[in-house]
Amino acid sequence: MKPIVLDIKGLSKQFSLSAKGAGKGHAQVISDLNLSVNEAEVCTILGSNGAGKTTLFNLINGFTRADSGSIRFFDSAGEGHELTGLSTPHIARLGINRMLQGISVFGHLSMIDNLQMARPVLASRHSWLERMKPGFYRAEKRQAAEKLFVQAEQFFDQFSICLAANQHKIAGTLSTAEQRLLSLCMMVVSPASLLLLDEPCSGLHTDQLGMIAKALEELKRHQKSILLIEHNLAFVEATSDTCHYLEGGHIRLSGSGNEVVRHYKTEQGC
Amino acid sequence: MEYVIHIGIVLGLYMILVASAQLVIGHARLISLGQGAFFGTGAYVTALCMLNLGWSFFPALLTAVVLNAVIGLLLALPAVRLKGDYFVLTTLGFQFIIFQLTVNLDRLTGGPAGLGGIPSPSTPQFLPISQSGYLFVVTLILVIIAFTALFLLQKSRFGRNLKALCDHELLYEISGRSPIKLRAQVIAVSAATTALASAVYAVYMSYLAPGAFNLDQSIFILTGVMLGGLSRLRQAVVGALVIVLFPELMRAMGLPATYGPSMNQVFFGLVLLVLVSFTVVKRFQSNERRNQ
Repeated sequence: MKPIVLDIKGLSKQFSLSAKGAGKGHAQVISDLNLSVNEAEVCTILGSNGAGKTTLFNLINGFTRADSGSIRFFDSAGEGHELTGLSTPHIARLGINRMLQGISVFGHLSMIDNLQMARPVLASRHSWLERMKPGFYRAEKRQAAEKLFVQAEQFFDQFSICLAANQHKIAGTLSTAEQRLLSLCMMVVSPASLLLLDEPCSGLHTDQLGMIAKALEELKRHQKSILLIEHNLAFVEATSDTCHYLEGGHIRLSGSGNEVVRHYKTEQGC
Repeated sequence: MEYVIHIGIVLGLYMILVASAQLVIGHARLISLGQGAFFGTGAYVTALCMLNLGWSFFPALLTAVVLNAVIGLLLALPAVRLKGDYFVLTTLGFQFIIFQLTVNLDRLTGGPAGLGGIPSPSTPQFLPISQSGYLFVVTLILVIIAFTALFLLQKSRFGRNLKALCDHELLYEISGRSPIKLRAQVIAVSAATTALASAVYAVYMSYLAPGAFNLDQSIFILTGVMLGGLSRLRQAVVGALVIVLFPELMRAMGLPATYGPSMNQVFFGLVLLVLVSFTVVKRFQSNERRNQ
């Protein structure tokens, strides 16, 4: 049994509706949701539009505050943290990275700058005496940059993209697939141990899905746990270790990818 | 010759002011109407240090820079949590608070009558130049310092982070950095570099009155930023050139005093209107749309 990375218990979120003409009311987006994610696994959330998938992600990484319930995250050192009530940057520094739906790169920055943004401020383990040495920070910065470059280059090599030749390209000028790969590479080089991927396959040609699946394997190889939202059922079947079917704000069914997808298909009538 | 030096000094001051404002308005995409107030606080701090404490110019200048950074952080405290129109209103409020303080703290600032008799820094013996010539050299050095600092800042990690923040705020937060902190730093830095110009202004004019640091001044600086451009330092130079030299040009044309100065306002008003509605707004809008 693999250790648990994320443990959600009794999570609820209500949005109050104040739109004109709709009158007053509340929408229960997430209700009493329980979910856990194991280390180095791909855990998929299936569900129709409005089932609360993205809201769940927003709750985990602090974009919205939960009404009740607890979200516990165990970092790479195995230490537990309660995430509810923390700010997004704080949660990110604990080790949770997220890929947003659509474009998830800094469009005006070069590829290499994007990758560097994925790394947080240097957390140095050196004593203050060592730090006082002249040129210490420059040397450390260079070392970190070299390590980052090597790591990213290995990743891009698998997709026959030469990083050395493209590193100064502005991310906004890349194709959708390339941008997607860049955001996945940002995940690889980031120290985060839990990744929230919101529809990594949207807007891509079916031929390109193999590429994303390969990237997910690569992420798993780096001991990263993945919580995935995806609509492409073939992709879900191929990549997921566990799968949860979300409906009306709570988990209806959990199981392996194949099981849940089969159930989902009969439910949707396709 | 004296006239050329005068224009040189004023130009230098506005280059610093516009470049500092450009950091906030152009790079951090925060429309600030409080730049004139920062200009004022810096000038008053310099003047008070020299008059009441008897300090010489350079320690007073340093104090003004540090204190302005602190005042910048104080403004940032409420302001950086707000965006768009709300941020503008906060800086506008700050502008009015500083203006009212300079008018009403008359024990300290001389009130509406102003603060006079600010001594000019003495010219070193070995320099065979006039008083204003020396001030021109000081201005030049400060312009170089301010521009180098701003340039290095933009090339550094700070500049990259700023670019990333304007690009995609949510993604910036996801990367584990706090947008609030960065915006506060930007405002503090901008206030600090503004103080460089304020200090020279105080000793060059040798007299300070609240009227020089009101909303008009802020809008004047804003016009300079919009005219030049939002992203590069050399655009700040262009902006400063236009806003300083255009009124001089109008004066040289010999328009009657009854409507000469108001022609400047008409010109700058039109320029601001055209720029804002056709070019600048688009850039701000495209950013906001992406961030949603």
